[in-house]
Formats: sequence, C-alpha cells, structure tokens
Amino acid sequence: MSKKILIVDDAVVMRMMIKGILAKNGFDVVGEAQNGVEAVDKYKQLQPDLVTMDMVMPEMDGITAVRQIMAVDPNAKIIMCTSMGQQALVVEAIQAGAKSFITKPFQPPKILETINKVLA
Amino acid sequence: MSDELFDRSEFISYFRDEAEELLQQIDAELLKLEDLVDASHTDPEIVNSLFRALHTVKGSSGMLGFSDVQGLAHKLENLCDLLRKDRIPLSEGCVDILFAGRDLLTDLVAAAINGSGPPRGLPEYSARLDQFVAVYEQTAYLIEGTAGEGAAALATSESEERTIAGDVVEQFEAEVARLLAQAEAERREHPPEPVTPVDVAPAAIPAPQPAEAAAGTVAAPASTPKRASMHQTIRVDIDRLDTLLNLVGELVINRTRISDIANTLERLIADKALDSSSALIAPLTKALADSAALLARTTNEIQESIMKVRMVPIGQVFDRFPRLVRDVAKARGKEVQLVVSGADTDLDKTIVDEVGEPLMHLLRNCVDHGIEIPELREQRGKARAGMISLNAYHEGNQIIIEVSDDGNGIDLEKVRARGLKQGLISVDDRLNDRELIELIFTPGFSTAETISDVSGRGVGMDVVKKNITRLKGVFDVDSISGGGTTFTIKLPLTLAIIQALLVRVADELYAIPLDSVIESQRVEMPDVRTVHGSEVITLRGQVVPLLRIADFFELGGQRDPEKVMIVIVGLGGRQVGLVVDSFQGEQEIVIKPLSDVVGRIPGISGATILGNGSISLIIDVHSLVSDAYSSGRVARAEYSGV
Repeated sequence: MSKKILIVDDAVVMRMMIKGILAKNGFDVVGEAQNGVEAVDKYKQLQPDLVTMDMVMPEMDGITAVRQIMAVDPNAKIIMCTSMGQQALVVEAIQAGAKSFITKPFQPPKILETINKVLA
Repeated sequence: MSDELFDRSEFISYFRDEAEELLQQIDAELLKLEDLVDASHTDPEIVNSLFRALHTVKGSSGMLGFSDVQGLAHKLENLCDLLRKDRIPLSEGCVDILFAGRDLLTDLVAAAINGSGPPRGLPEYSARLDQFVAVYEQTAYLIEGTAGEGAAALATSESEERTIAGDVVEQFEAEVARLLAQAEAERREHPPEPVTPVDVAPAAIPAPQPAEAAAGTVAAPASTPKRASMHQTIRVDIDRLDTLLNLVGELVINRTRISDIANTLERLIADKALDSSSALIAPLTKALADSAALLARTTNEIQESIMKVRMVPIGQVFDRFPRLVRDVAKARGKEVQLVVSGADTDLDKTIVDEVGEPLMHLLRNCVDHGIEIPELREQRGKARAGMISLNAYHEGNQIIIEVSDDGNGIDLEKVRARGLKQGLISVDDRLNDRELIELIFTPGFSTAETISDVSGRGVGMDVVKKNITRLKGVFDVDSISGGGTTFTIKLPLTLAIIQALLVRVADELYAIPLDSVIESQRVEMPDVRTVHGSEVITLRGQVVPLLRIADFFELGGQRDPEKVMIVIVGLGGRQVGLVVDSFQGEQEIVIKPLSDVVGRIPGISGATILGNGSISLIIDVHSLVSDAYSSGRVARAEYSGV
C-alpha cells in the first residue's frame, strides 16, 4: 500500500510541486495544510505516514507544529522544508522531533531520497 | 534541477495568483508599518507577516527558477529580519525603501511570468538597499562597537542568490549536520534535568509534558482563535462559467415556454375549448403544469447557484487602494485617511474586473482635487488629514459603491468658468447645479489649474462615466461646496440576466431594462405639449421630454390621437418618456449580445429570446437618453421655461 503523505506549506506553488513529485512516484498525498494549526488538525484526522513541514508559516510556524504533532504521536515522521540561512531553526526543529530536512529549492531526487530514507 | 519531473508552466499561473496576493499583503502591512514610524517602534506581528510573505515569494520563485525575484525577495526578507531584531530602527526612509522594493518585486514577478527581460532599476535598487543597510551598520558600529550582523546577513544573501548550485546546498546541509552533532554532544554531556525515559531515536527530545498532552487535547495557542480552514476549492476558467451561464439562459427561456404551454392548455380546458372527451387530457395537462412548476424551481436554483459561483468579493479590487491613496497623497503633500467598508460585498467577477479602473480614477481625483492641503484644512476648521471613504453594499438587485471625501467639494463657479472657456456652454445658458456638475463628464473637461501627473490630464470623469455606463451602471455625483464630494456608482449584480419591462411598438416587442424604468403611465394627448417642435409632458412639476420609439427606429405605424403610453426612464438625474404602443408586463430576460454581423445599432444593446420563442430587442436606455439630450432637441425643450 502506498504511503500516506501530508504536505504542509503556506505557498500553493510549493504544495503543488511537492504533491506532483510525490504523486508521480507512488505516494498518496492524503492532505495539504497551509499553516501549523491546520497541520496539527489534519495530522490527527488523517494519520499520515509522513509529513513534509514548511518552517515559516502564518498562524503557527513549522517548529511549533512539529512539537504539537510529536505530542500527539511520538512516532510521527516529519521532514522539514527549509531555506538556506535557517541552520539554527533546522537544528531546533530536529531537536523538537523532526526526522530530517530538505533544502529549498528542492531537487526531486533529493526529496524522494530523503522521504524514502525516513520511511525505511 | 531535473526538469522532466516538473511541468513548469503548470505552476506559473499558481505562482502568479499567489504572488499577487502576497504582494497585496506586503503592501497592506507596509501601510500599517508606515503608521508606526512616528512611534518609531515596530510591531513584531506586522514585521513577521512581511517577513513570511517575502519568504514565501522567495521560496516559490526559487522553485520556478525566477532568480531575480528570488534574489530581491531574499534581500527584502533580510531587511525585515534586521527590523524584526531591532538592528535597524523603523524610519520613514526604511519604509520608503521597502515600498520601493515591493514595487520592484511586482515588476520582477511580472517580467518573470511574461518572460520579458528584467525591468530597469534592479541594480540601482540593490545598491541603494545595500547602502541603506551598510550606512546604518557603520553607525551602529561606531556607537556600539560591534560588527554589524546586518551587513553580514545581506552579504550572505549575495552568495545565496548568486547560485542555486549544489555546493551551496551541500555546505548548508553540512553545517546543519555539524550543529546537530554539536547539540547532540552537548545534550549527552548535560542531560536534561527531568529524567524522562529518552527514546533511542537520535536527536529526538521527548515531547514536552507528554502526560498532559494526550491525543486530542493539544489546543491551538490562544492567540490564534481564527482558524483559517482551507476550503476545498478548484480553479475554473471563467470562459467555462460563461458557457454554462449561457446554457442556463437557454434553459430559463425554455422553462418559460413550457410554463406558457401548460397555462394555455389549462385555460383551454377551463374554457371547454378543447375536446376533453378523452379522459387523459385533463390529468396530463395537470401533470405537465406540475412538471413545469418543478422545472421552474430547479432552473431558478441552478441559475442562482451559477450566479453565486461567479460572485467574488469586491475587496479584491479595494485591496490595492490604500497604497494608491497613500502614494498620491504623499506626492501631493496631503494627509489622507482612507476608510474602506463593505469589502466582502459580492459582485459578478466580470464587473469586479472592470470596476477597478474607474474607482482608481475617482480616488485619485478625491486626493488630488477633493482633499485640501493640511494648512488649508486647518484654516477651515477641519482635521489636518482628509478623510476618504470607500463603501460598498447591496441594495436590491444592485450593488452600490460610494466614494466620498470631506474636501473642497466641486467648485461650481470654477466649473462654469472653465466650461465657458472651453466653449462647452455659452453665457446665456441657465444651468442648474446638477447640470453644472454634469459638465465635468464632458470629454476633455478639467478644472485643474495645472496638469499634475496624478489627474487633470483631460482623461477624466468622462472616461469614468463611460466605463460605468458600459457595465450598465449609473454614476452620480453629489457635492457640497467646501464640504466634500460623494460619487455614487450603482451596478447590477450581474450582466447576464435582467428584469425587463416588455413593451409593444409597431407590432414588435421591445425589452426595457427595469432598473432604468422609473414608472409607466398613460397620458392623454391634451397633456402633451409641444415646445420648439419637441413633445414634453409635465410630471410632478418637472418637464419630461418624450421620445417616440416608433420614430426613433423609423418603424412607422399609427399614432393614437387620444393618448400616449409612456415609460419614464431615468439616467443620472435625467428623465425621458419613451412613447410605446402598449405595455406587455415584466419578465426576466437573458441578454444575448448581437452578433458582429448585425453590428452596433444605436439604441439597441442586445436581444433576448422570449418564452414563446420570439425575439425581442433590448433597448439601450443610456444611448437613447444621451442621444435625446445631446441632439439638443430635448435640452431646448427643457430649458425654454415651460
């Protein structure tokens, strides 16, 4: 059975791109969220196998969302989507429980590699 | 990046919409920020919002390979970051540079989407931005004796925007790995105080208070009560909706037709005109009538639903005005406060797209001609800052948009003088206030003493009026000398289906849009007077010129020697009585534009198909009224003191 993915990003272009890449490679994108609050809600509702999480979002940022999701499900698998220049934040996110990170602008093979590694 | 996985063009339209929205948001936040300059402290929420919007633009443009956009967004994001961290104080200069950056970013986005070359000014602006930060950093260095992080931040941005190459990404990732290892090492040396069982997963710290945070009880922070839920939406080409609407129009016509047939049958049975010996006819007719009624209801609902689909909030247009007003006011040395209300009022998408331009012009006019300079306002006992309000609301089947200011008002003497000078009126003309105001709608009219770059170039109110009229709207002006001006625009909610009054003229049916009909009445011939060869009637003390539809369209036909049937139509305060043969009742009609083969016919705005399948032409009230007035016929009659 294909793995269920939840995509979290406030930018519609980003969501579309990640969704496109994942759908073409046999993943099942079960939901999208555009801020941290929605991410937590949808996580509870959809129970995805993996979450891609943007860091900078309105309402609730990615790191806070990671903390809240980890509180709900300590086994949650979350990958951070980060821009360059955010080293410190990436570290904070991983300490909060994120399993890995990918750097924008994404390269499709890299995304797939990272996701497969985390799901393995 | 491996392009075979992306269909880039597919994302560009998403990017365009998103960027437009974000740039709008940036504008709005900058306006709020500008208001804080005097207080000289920033509001972290505003700056954070700016930062996030720029960050998103950066990320999305980066994915699409729009490196100019990405680079500039990054620089601006950094400036916001410095502002956020109080490394740069909030100042007018800072806000100005952000505004300029936002505008350049808009140009860059457009250039990237259109594939045209980068707009001019990018290198100059980049230099200006760098210098702005550098100057401040130097001062900070002198005062605090610390090397500025700001300059460093901008400097790193240079290297980032220069390349999206893998090595930079690798460097970044290597650094994160190093920091992680370091954090991990520190954590091992100093384990956290509360000894909760640590999961073996590397780098994973136990979630805070896992006991309390049982599933389902993790509440969102209290500071975010408004949960913007993501609606399930799809994007639809407006052309498809137009097609659908047109089809529904056909359905409406056929529904009416079927109802007509059912009614006729029922009447015939009631009159015993039909051979009802067959026991089947009566129940069948009843069934047909029931079906027709059901069909009517469903069709109405479909029609309403499609109308709703086409409705968008007018706020889409209003959103760009605060910035416009700010810029014009600044350029003219005025202080203006824009108050917007009713931004969530829904309106047909086509109309929303078209109404922006005229509104923009009105607002420019308010700032430029309406609002006085602060000193003069103080002399007049008004607040220094002028107030412009922009308000939208529904009224019946119409939407009303009001633009009003508390400025000068229209100086009627000046209008008269200018009208004389431009030969639009003559010294003998006795114009009342309303007619003087109407003068400002004459092409080429301007009271501006000097031509500014804002308004007063002669493309003015006449264009605004023309645009509104094209949308089947009505445009009115009210002005109090020294007290301000109110422009009122009344627009139909949709352009496709209207209520019409059907009239018969020389055996043809014509439809008159009901929104311009004031009343209809029968007038005895002795009450019709002839002034300078034109027929007029007096209606409640007002002289109303008559226009015989049969004559206008050269239909011939017999005139009733005893009476006339008149439909009084009004447009912007001017009334005309259209003379018809008989009234045929009101009906909802679907407007079908005339094909190019027929071309533009004066006095006709389109056609419609009636329930019985016959075609009726729709009378273009606006062109009839203005034709009647501009031909001078009516005007002469009206002012000859009847």
